Amino acid sequence: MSSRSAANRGPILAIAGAMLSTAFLAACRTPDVDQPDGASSTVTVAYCCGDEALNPIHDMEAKKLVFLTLMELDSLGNRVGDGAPFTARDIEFTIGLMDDFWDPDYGSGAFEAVTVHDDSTITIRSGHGRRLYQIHMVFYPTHLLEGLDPERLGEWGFWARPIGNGPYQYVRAVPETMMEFEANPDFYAGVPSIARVVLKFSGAAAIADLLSGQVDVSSDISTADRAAVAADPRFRLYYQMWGGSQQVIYWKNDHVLFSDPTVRRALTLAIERRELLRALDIPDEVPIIDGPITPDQWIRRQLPKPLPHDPERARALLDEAGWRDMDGDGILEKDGRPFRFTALVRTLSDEDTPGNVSAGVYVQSQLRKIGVEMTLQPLDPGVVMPRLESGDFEAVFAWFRSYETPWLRRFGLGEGDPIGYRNARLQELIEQASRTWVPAEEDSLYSQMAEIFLADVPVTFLHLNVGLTVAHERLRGLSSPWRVEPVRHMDDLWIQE
Amino acid sequence: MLKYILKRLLFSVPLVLGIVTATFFITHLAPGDPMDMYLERQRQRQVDPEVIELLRKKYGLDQPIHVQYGAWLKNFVQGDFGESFRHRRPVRDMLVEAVPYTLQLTVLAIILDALVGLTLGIISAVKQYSKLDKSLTVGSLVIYAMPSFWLALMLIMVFSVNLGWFPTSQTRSMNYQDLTAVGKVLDRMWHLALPVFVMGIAGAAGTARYMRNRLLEVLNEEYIVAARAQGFREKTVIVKHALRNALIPIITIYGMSLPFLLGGATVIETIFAWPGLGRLTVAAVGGRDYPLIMAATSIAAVLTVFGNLLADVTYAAVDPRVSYDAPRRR
Repeated sequence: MSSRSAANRGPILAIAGAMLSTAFLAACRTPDVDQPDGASSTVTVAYCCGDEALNPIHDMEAKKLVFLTLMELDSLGNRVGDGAPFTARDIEFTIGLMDDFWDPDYGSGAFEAVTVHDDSTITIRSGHGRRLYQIHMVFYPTHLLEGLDPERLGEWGFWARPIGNGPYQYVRAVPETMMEFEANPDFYAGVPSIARVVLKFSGAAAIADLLSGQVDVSSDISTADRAAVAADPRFRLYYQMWGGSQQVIYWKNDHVLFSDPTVRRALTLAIERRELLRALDIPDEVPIIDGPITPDQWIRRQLPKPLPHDPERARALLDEAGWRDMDGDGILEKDGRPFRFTALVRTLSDEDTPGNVSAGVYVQSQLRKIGVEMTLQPLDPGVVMPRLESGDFEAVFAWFRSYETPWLRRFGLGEGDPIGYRNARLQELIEQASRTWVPAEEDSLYSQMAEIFLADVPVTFLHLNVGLTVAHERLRGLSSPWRVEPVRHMDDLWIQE
Repeated sequence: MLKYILKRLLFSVPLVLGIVTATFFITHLAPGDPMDMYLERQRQRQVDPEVIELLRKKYGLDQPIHVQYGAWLKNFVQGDFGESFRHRRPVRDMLVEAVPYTLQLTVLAIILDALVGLTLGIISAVKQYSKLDKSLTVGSLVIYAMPSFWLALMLIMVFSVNLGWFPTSQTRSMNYQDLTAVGKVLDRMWHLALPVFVMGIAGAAGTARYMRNRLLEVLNEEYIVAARAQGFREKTVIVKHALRNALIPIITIYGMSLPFLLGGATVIETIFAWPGLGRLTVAAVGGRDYPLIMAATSIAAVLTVFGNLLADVTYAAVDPRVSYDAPRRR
């Protein structure tokens, strides 16, 4: 009897013990510590990158809270946080510093010459016909950094307690937890509306932090997590995209299967790309763009007209090219060779680009309907790009950046080019575009390039890369598709009480 | 015994060397250039091939692989793990920062594992075939089969998102610096609760099963029957005679868990944004950060070898039947 009652008490004691432990640990909680304060204008941002958020080696948007970019040069003469003036010499110093450190924005010959005329006048000459990426570059105060060892730039304590003349000033940090900033009262463009900004280093827990109300906004939400917040009235969703950053299928243009432009066109016509976007949870307002474009064309929505989804036409084109199902197995053949190939797909996402397995599976089913068998080979992202660069593929799902000359330069070279597409006229247009700064001329050159892409289809454009930002509805001022990154645009945002 | 330990230590040198050498070549021969990965993460804007070559030269990646290996090995034996490609900081500094976080997590998880696992295993064995035993058996099998990442996500959803009892992630609250010393300790415990529970409970489920089976084996031994026949109380038989013998193989399990102390929290650290060695290693693998990968692997290799040695030595210390000394000739 006694042993039975003891046995019965066991689970009860265990449950009671567990509840007591839980209550004790929950009591350890410091109340309301992480809750956003609705009454004040504090915005807590789920941020990815820990204590190194402002370290230039990671090139994060957070640097724009504290430092100014080349777009804001009318701030010259303004004061840095410690009272020293911000001058042209700070720009010269930063360019030299980062050039030594091989930052892709500043270094690698992006600047041919930098001449300081006086404290508020500077001439910067772009190097090697390359454009400057003004929106990404920020400038650091010379007087605080010039004595430090540039070789150990990544270890400088300055990045943990930065001082600049941007819209916000550093206040404090809790290691591996958060950095706090307050509005800069001397900001040249006026004091930002949001008084305090907290970067909470949520990492993979960004979605949980949003749902639990511990942060107000996050740009680290994957499209897979979109469903968790899309129907929640507390949040608004914003999509960041620009037409020059796409996912495409690179065809091996000198491969026997893909050497005929008619075939490449047929394969593109067979894919219902609008449905692909829905399958990938990409919103309907995202356009399909068949070709490279400039930022101006994107803003004005002067986009190349995409090829339609037309499987009947695709079948006819393949038939015209000699591809027919001779043995009735559902796969097309030509000269005894079945239309079978392998496409490489990226298994994982990284900061900028999604994995391609879902898109690959969808395209696979679409091509199967016109008698083309595509086998998917899912690979680590670090493997896919070297295979693309070395030409060791039949087809690759990967990203494409149309406004970056090194990307475009790989097209049209023929044998020396990993894609195997030969077009001297395209090469000429790419070189001309890399040398011009005149927007209208650039637009014209890109339109001609787009016509070539549309005619020869060296790649099949699938969809734009879309970044998702989820913000609490009280945070206002964000808008798709440009003003989406909360940290970059923080000084333009406000709280709707 | 001392001779045995020295012999094992001597053998462990080529073993560790073999492991790190294999890891070095596998890592370096795997496709994916670290400089490409680094620049891709930097959004790869307009990077001149010259710059990539300069970066490769700086980190010795332009050298033949055997030369790279020689340079790495020379630094390794001097305790220099090099500089992280991605963070541009000495790997040693990064390890010094990350290891304490991981140890907090894993040591507490092992303690929880032992306390819960051994207790439930003993109860289960003593109450063999009772409802309690059956419930514990089913419960431990369910938890053992449950992926820890899924359990972690479910606990976050219930206890952090819905109930708000625990933080979703991280090591400290945002007002940590304003807390008293006691407050700081409590705050850390509050943040450790969910990750430690997930790691500890999964281990406890396995330990409970192992402990139950082992204790049942011992309880059927003849010396236990003899003890009972001599009229010892059941509690004395179990605690003094059965349990001590049943615990001996458990030592091996915990000795083998030494590498887990630093490398066993990879998934949990990532989910809970815990800045330990596991999360660092995951990021290093993704970014082909060779120096960081090699440092993490070397630590795991050394701990595995020494964990085995520790288990064997402890085994001999607690079980008089086990001896590593050469038998005396008569």
